Amino acid sequence: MSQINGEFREQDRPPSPSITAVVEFPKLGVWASVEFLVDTGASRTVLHPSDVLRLGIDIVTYAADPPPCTSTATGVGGKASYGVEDAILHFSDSNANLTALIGPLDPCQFDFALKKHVPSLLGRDFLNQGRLIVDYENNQLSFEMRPAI
Amino acid sequence: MTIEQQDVASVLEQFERDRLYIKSHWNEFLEQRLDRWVVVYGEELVGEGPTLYDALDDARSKCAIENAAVEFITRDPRNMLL
Repeated sequence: MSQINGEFREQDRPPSPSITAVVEFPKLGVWASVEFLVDTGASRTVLHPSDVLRLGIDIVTYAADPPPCTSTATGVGGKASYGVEDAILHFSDSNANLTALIGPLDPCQFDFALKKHVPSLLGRDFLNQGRLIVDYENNQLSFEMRPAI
Repeated sequence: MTIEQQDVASVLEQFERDRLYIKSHWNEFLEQRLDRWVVVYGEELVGEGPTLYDALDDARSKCAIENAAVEFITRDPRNMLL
Protein backbone atom coordinates (compact mmCIF):
# COMPACT_ATOMS: atom_id res chain seq x y z
CA MET A 1 0.00 0.00 0.00
CA SER A 2 1.23 3.45 -0.88
CA GLN A 3 0.20 6.18 1.56
CA ILE A 4 -0.64 9.70 0.45
CA ASN A 5 -1.06 12.36 3.11
CA GLY A 6 -3.43 15.27 2.74
CA GLU A 7 -4.39 18.14 4.97
CA PHE A 8 -7.27 20.31 6.04
CA ARG A 9 -7.55 23.74 4.43
CA GLU A 10 -8.06 26.02 7.40
CA GLN A 11 -8.89 28.97 5.11
CA ASP A 12 -12.22 27.26 4.39
CA ARG A 13 -15.04 27.32 6.92
CA PRO A 14 -15.38 24.63 8.05
CA PRO A 15 -11.92 23.38 7.03
CA SER A 16 -11.98 21.20 3.93
CA PRO A 17 -10.01 18.00 3.23
CA SER A 18 -7.45 18.35 0.44
CA ILE A 19 -4.87 16.22 -1.31
CA THR A 20 -2.16 17.59 -3.58
CA ALA A 21 -0.86 15.93 -6.73
CA VAL A 22 1.01 16.75 -9.90
CA VAL A 23 -1.54 16.20 -12.64
CA GLU A 24 -0.29 15.38 -16.11
CA PHE A 25 -2.32 15.28 -19.31
CA PRO A 26 0.03 13.41 -21.67
CA LYS A 27 -1.97 14.02 -24.86
CA LEU A 28 -2.17 17.75 -24.16
CA GLY A 29 1.49 17.88 -23.10
CA VAL A 30 0.77 19.84 -19.92
CA TRP A 31 1.07 19.28 -16.18
CA ALA A 32 0.58 21.28 -12.99
CA SER A 33 0.58 20.96 -9.23
CA VAL A 34 -3.02 20.85 -8.04
CA GLU A 35 -4.63 21.00 -4.62
CA PHE A 36 -7.80 18.89 -4.85
CA LEU A 37 -10.83 19.01 -2.63
CA VAL A 38 -11.46 15.42 -1.51
CA ASP A 39 -15.06 15.00 -2.65
CA THR A 40 -16.82 11.70 -2.13
CA GLY A 41 -19.89 13.32 -3.72
CA ALA A 42 -18.11 13.70 -7.07
CA SER A 43 -18.23 10.66 -9.32
CA ARG A 44 -15.30 11.91 -11.39
CA THR A 45 -12.07 13.81 -10.83
CA VAL A 46 -12.46 17.31 -12.22
CA LEU A 47 -10.02 20.10 -13.06
CA HIS A 48 -11.77 23.41 -12.51
CA PRO A 49 -10.92 26.86 -13.90
CA SER A 50 -8.19 28.14 -11.57
CA ASP A 51 -6.15 25.01 -12.27
CA VAL A 52 -7.12 24.85 -15.95
CA LEU A 53 -5.66 28.35 -16.35
CA ARG A 54 -2.44 27.36 -14.58
CA LEU A 55 -2.18 24.37 -16.92
CA GLY A 56 -2.06 26.93 -19.74
CA ILE A 57 -5.27 25.68 -21.34
CA ASP A 58 -7.34 28.32 -23.12
CA ILE A 59 -10.83 26.92 -22.69
CA VAL A 60 -12.26 28.42 -25.90
CA THR A 61 -9.47 26.97 -28.04
CA TYR A 62 -9.57 23.66 -26.16
CA ALA A 63 -13.33 23.30 -26.63
CA ALA A 64 -13.18 24.08 -30.34
CA ASP A 65 -10.01 22.82 -31.94
CA PRO A 66 -10.31 19.87 -32.15
CA PRO A 67 -13.42 19.34 -30.03
CA PRO A 68 -12.55 17.04 -27.12
CA CYS A 69 -14.48 13.97 -26.09
CA THR A 70 -17.04 15.40 -23.67
CA SER A 71 -19.10 14.40 -20.67
CA THR A 72 -21.97 16.18 -18.94
CA ALA A 73 -21.82 16.67 -15.17
CA THR A 74 -24.81 17.64 -13.07
CA GLY A 75 -24.64 19.78 -9.94
CA VAL A 76 -26.98 21.92 -7.89
CA GLY A 77 -26.46 24.78 -10.35
CA GLY A 78 -27.42 22.68 -13.36
CA LYS A 79 -25.55 20.81 -16.05
CA ALA A 80 -22.18 21.57 -17.55
CA SER A 81 -20.15 19.99 -20.34
CA TYR A 82 -16.54 18.96 -19.67
CA GLY A 83 -13.70 17.65 -21.79
CA VAL A 84 -12.59 14.11 -20.96
CA GLU A 85 -8.85 13.47 -20.95
CA ASP A 86 -6.48 10.69 -19.94
CA ALA A 87 -4.60 11.89 -16.89
CA ILE A 88 -1.84 10.75 -14.58
CA LEU A 89 -1.92 11.80 -10.95
CA HIS A 90 1.65 11.82 -9.66
CA PHE A 91 2.33 11.59 -5.95
CA SER A 92 5.73 11.44 -4.25
CA ASP A 93 6.07 7.69 -4.56
CA SER A 94 3.10 6.52 -6.60
CA ASN A 95 0.94 7.28 -9.64
CA ALA A 96 -2.69 6.80 -10.59
CA ASN A 97 -4.10 6.70 -14.11
CA LEU A 98 -7.63 7.88 -14.75
CA THR A 99 -9.71 9.97 -17.10
CA ALA A 100 -10.32 13.43 -15.69
CA LEU A 101 -12.77 16.14 -16.64
CA ILE A 102 -11.59 19.60 -17.73
CA GLY A 103 -13.91 22.55 -17.77
CA PRO A 104 -16.63 23.69 -17.84
CA LEU A 105 -16.29 24.09 -21.61
CA ASP A 106 -18.90 26.85 -21.85
CA PRO A 107 -16.96 30.13 -21.38
CA CYS A 108 -19.74 31.71 -19.30
CA GLN A 109 -19.90 28.72 -16.97
CA PHE A 110 -16.09 28.66 -16.87
CA ASP A 111 -15.90 32.30 -15.74
CA PHE A 112 -18.72 31.76 -13.26
CA ALA A 113 -16.90 28.80 -11.67
CA LEU A 114 -13.69 30.87 -11.57
CA LYS A 115 -15.42 33.77 -9.82
CA LYS A 116 -16.97 31.38 -7.31
CA HIS A 117 -13.54 29.80 -6.68
CA VAL A 118 -14.83 26.31 -7.36
CA PRO A 119 -11.95 23.97 -6.50
CA SER A 120 -10.75 20.98 -8.48
CA LEU A 121 -12.27 17.76 -7.17
CA LEU A 122 -10.76 14.40 -6.36
CA GLY A 123 -13.68 12.11 -7.08
CA ARG A 124 -14.66 8.53 -6.49
CA ASP A 125 -12.96 7.34 -9.68
CA PHE A 126 -9.76 7.90 -7.70
CA LEU A 127 -10.95 7.50 -4.10
CA ASN A 128 -12.39 4.04 -4.75
CA GLN A 129 -8.88 2.83 -5.61
CA GLY A 130 -7.95 2.66 -1.93
CA ARG A 131 -8.73 3.52 1.66
CA LEU A 132 -9.47 7.10 2.68
CA ILE A 133 -9.14 8.20 6.31
CA VAL A 134 -10.62 11.59 7.25
CA ASP A 135 -10.18 12.38 10.94
CA TYR A 136 -10.33 16.12 11.55
CA GLU A 137 -10.21 15.77 15.32
CA ASN A 138 -6.80 14.11 15.11
CA ASN A 139 -5.69 16.16 12.08
CA GLN A 140 -5.30 13.03 9.99
CA LEU A 141 -6.13 12.87 6.32
CA SER A 142 -4.57 10.00 4.44
CA PHE A 143 -5.20 7.80 1.46
CA GLU A 144 -3.78 4.32 1.07
CA MET A 145 -3.71 3.40 -2.58
CA ARG A 146 -4.10 -0.24 -3.52
CA PRO A 147 -1.19 -1.52 -5.57
CA ALA A 148 -2.00 -2.01 -9.24
CA ILE A 149 -2.72 -5.67 -10.04
CA MET B 1 6.20 18.64 -21.81
CA THR B 2 6.16 15.68 -19.46
CA ILE B 3 7.30 15.39 -15.88
CA GLU B 4 9.74 12.76 -14.70
CA GLN B 5 8.68 10.80 -11.62
CA GLN B 6 11.94 11.71 -9.86
CA ASP B 7 11.03 15.40 -10.19
CA VAL B 8 7.58 14.98 -8.66
CA ALA B 9 8.68 14.94 -5.02
CA SER B 10 10.62 18.20 -5.31
CA VAL B 11 7.78 19.87 -7.25
CA LEU B 12 5.25 18.82 -4.62
CA GLU B 13 7.52 19.93 -1.78
CA GLN B 14 7.91 23.39 -3.32
CA PHE B 15 4.18 23.64 -3.95
CA GLU B 16 3.54 22.63 -0.34
CA ARG B 17 5.92 25.32 0.95
CA ASP B 18 4.16 27.94 -1.20
CA ARG B 19 0.74 26.86 0.07
CA LEU B 20 2.05 27.06 3.63
CA TYR B 21 3.36 30.55 2.86
CA ILE B 22 -0.17 31.63 1.90
CA LYS B 23 -1.59 29.99 5.00
CA SER B 24 0.92 31.61 7.33
CA HIS B 25 0.49 35.05 5.72
CA TRP B 26 -3.32 34.79 5.53
CA ASN B 27 -4.08 37.58 8.01
CA GLU B 28 -1.55 39.87 6.36
CA PHE B 29 -3.12 39.15 2.96
CA LEU B 30 -6.58 39.84 4.40
CA GLU B 31 -5.41 43.28 5.50
CA GLN B 32 -3.51 44.20 2.35
CA ARG B 33 -5.00 42.22 -0.54
CA LEU B 34 -8.63 41.58 0.31
CA ASP B 35 -10.75 40.31 -2.61
CA ARG B 36 -7.71 39.88 -4.85
CA TRP B 37 -5.98 36.81 -6.25
CA VAL B 38 -2.40 36.13 -5.17
CA VAL B 39 0.22 33.95 -6.84
CA VAL B 40 3.06 32.60 -4.69
CA TYR B 41 6.17 30.81 -5.91
CA GLY B 42 9.43 30.16 -4.07
CA GLU B 43 7.78 31.45 -0.90
CA GLU B 44 7.40 34.90 -2.46
CA LEU B 45 4.44 36.81 -3.75
CA VAL B 46 5.05 36.87 -7.51
CA GLY B 47 1.68 38.08 -8.78
CA GLU B 48 -1.61 39.60 -7.76
CA GLY B 49 -4.67 41.11 -9.31
CA PRO B 50 -8.44 41.51 -9.15
CA THR B 51 -8.90 38.47 -11.39
CA LEU B 52 -6.87 35.29 -11.71
CA TYR B 53 -6.12 36.24 -15.34
CA ASP B 54 -4.50 39.48 -14.08
CA ALA B 55 -2.61 37.74 -11.28
CA LEU B 56 -1.23 35.03 -13.58
CA ASP B 57 -0.21 37.63 -16.18
CA ASP B 58 1.62 39.47 -13.41
CA ALA B 59 3.40 36.27 -12.35
CA ARG B 60 4.11 34.74 -15.75
CA SER B 61 7.50 36.37 -16.29
CA LYS B 62 8.66 35.49 -12.76
CA CYS B 63 7.88 31.80 -12.45
CA ALA B 64 6.42 28.67 -14.02
CA ILE B 65 2.79 29.29 -13.14
CA GLU B 66 1.90 25.60 -13.35
CA ASN B 67 3.87 25.15 -10.13
CA ALA B 68 2.69 28.29 -8.37
CA ALA B 69 0.16 28.33 -5.55
CA VAL B 70 -2.82 30.61 -6.18
CA GLU B 71 -5.52 31.78 -3.82
CA PHE B 72 -8.36 34.27 -3.72
CA ILE B 73 -8.09 36.32 -0.54
CA THR B 74 -11.51 36.59 1.00
CA ARG B 75 -13.31 36.77 4.31
CA ASP B 76 -16.31 34.99 2.81
CA PRO B 77 -16.83 31.45 4.12
CA ARG B 78 -17.10 29.99 0.57
CA ASN B 79 -20.28 28.02 1.19
CA MET B 80 -20.40 25.25 -1.35
CA LEU B 81 -22.34 22.14 -2.22
CA LEU B 82 -20.28 19.98 -4.54
